[in-house]
Amino acid sequence: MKAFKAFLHFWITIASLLSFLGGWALLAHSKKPLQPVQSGQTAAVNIAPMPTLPPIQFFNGGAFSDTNNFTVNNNPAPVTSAPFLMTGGS
Amino acid sequence: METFRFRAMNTDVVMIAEGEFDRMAEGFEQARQFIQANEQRFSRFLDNSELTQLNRSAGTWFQASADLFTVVALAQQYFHQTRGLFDPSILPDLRRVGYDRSIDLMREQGAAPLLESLLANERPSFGEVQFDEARQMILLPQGMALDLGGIAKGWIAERAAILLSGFASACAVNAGGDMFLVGLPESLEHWPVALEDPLEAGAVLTTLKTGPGAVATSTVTKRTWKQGEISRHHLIDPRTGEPALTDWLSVTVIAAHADEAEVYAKALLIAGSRGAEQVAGDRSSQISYLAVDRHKNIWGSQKSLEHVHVS
Repeated sequence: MKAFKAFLHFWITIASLLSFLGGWALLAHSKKPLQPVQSGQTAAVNIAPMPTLPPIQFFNGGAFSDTNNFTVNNNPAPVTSAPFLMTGGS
Repeated sequence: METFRFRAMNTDVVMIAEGEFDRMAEGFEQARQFIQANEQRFSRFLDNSELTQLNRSAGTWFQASADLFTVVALAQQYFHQTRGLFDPSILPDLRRVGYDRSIDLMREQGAAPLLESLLANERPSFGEVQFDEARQMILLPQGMALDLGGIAKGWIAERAAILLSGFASACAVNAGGDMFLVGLPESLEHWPVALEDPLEAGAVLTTLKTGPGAVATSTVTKRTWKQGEISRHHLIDPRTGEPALTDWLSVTVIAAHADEAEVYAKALLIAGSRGAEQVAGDRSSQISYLAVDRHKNIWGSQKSLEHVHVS
């Protein structure tokens, strides 16, 4: 009986020690939490530049809701071998 | 893709076709003959044209050809549709402000001095023209004279393109900016149509993407002249009898038919930005229009966004 108690104490001691060391190793290799920004410090953040949106132009010469003013592409890609047709009145 | 150019109706005519070369050559020739024959019919500048004879007959019934009857009847339909902004009976006003000869002759000889004529509101309305469909006869009220220049040009271009399409897989007829497109060229998803800068002849403002159908442009910057010290242009506002005062320089219309495109380009240009929506009215879901102002800004109907590259 005495020998059994001694073995049990030894076993509990070893198991506790191994669990403690295993937990230590696991936490040592886990990701660190973000550090809070301290007052007085600045945090630089890189954000991709946003394109400037064209202004929405409303026709202001009368009640003319269906007509829009827009900027068109003045240099459309040339279409090779396309026929050349032009409209401009005569 | 072959191109054939010639001058008719006081403007440059360009025909483009794709297909078998010999067939296209025959198509070009037949379309050219069709255009020149109809120029003889619809010109107000030719003393023996059918239109001149109709104008002389005002006050009595006139036996018209099927084509003249069709175009005058169409013109009256558009007169009502545009609430009178398209009105071919403004010919006396055109003559009064000096446009009494072809533009080619006016550029050589100068404009005629201001003539006395009845004001627009003193003359009979184009709505009073009567038609006898069974006998194909037209009755112009006494004192009325018609200028079918624009609508006839569109109508002729469309008919010529349909004629040419019998000889080609795809084709286009462009009569001074009024054009009709049939089919699509192989390897293209749309016809590219350059929109000309109204302030710089030959310069391109942008390129429109159009499918088969019609494109027409009306402008106040091309047919211009001086009458004494006064600058004139050919677009008469039927409400005043004077060259239209409009904040737009040109209007381009894309529509199913060339006569409709031509008529609405003219009416929308006269109406300008303040009246365009009212003029487009019920047709705004069928036609697209783009207008260019004095600062080269392009204005357009919602539907026109289908045809432009917007950046």
